[in-house]
Amino acid sequence: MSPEQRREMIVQAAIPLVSEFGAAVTTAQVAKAAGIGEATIFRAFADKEELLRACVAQAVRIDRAVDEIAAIPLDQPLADRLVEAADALQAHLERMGRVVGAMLASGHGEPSRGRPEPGARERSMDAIREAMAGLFEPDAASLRLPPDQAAAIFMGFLFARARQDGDELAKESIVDVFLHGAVKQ
Amino acid sequence: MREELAQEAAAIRDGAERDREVAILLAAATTNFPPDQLAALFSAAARRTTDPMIPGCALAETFLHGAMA
Repeated sequence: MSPEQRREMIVQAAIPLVSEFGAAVTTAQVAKAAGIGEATIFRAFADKEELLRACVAQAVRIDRAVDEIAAIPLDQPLADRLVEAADALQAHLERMGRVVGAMLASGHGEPSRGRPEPGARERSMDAIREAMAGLFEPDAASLRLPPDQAAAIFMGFLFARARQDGDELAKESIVDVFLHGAVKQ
Repeated sequence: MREELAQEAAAIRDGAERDREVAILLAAATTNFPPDQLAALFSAAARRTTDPMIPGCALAETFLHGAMA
């Protein structure tokens, strides 16, 4: 196993624990979860702080959601594709929220130190939009807008839902409003 | 209604809270879901959709009549 693979393996084992315990997680807990000795952690990371930063950085990475969206079969109806995409994005936001929230709750005041460099958020959003636009391509002739613009608006709807509390529309309803409008014809 | 909703989108993008005004606008039409829920969705979407390639009128049109032609 390469050093990079070892770091990745440790981070994957640590993320569920960081989600639960935040910065209070111990390297002994991580070592046990990873099935390795504690010393191995400190050969891969300078200290626990570096490990925590790597966990936050991994949690905020959008790659997995982008891959899931790109893998959605294009032969199913557009509405179903969009609901699947909403699920993938929701899962990403929840993963990220659990890790960052636990870090803050445990008194680790600066989880942003583990976040990617400036501009990374914009690149992430571009990657999602590109993957999302791919979902619209088979139906491009039936849309009022080009696929990339449709993707941008749909993402606005989805992230709007993610920010609402409690009494929001279900994702299927969001997709319905997006595709067919809020006003009855 | 599209133009009025586009104006609301512009105000929301400038930082105004317009949920109530949007809900009143939507209540004048027959909507698929409760106007207050739709207004909250529109407002939040307008705040999120600040890309210059998405003018307020495109957002309003899509919101009112859907992305499907």
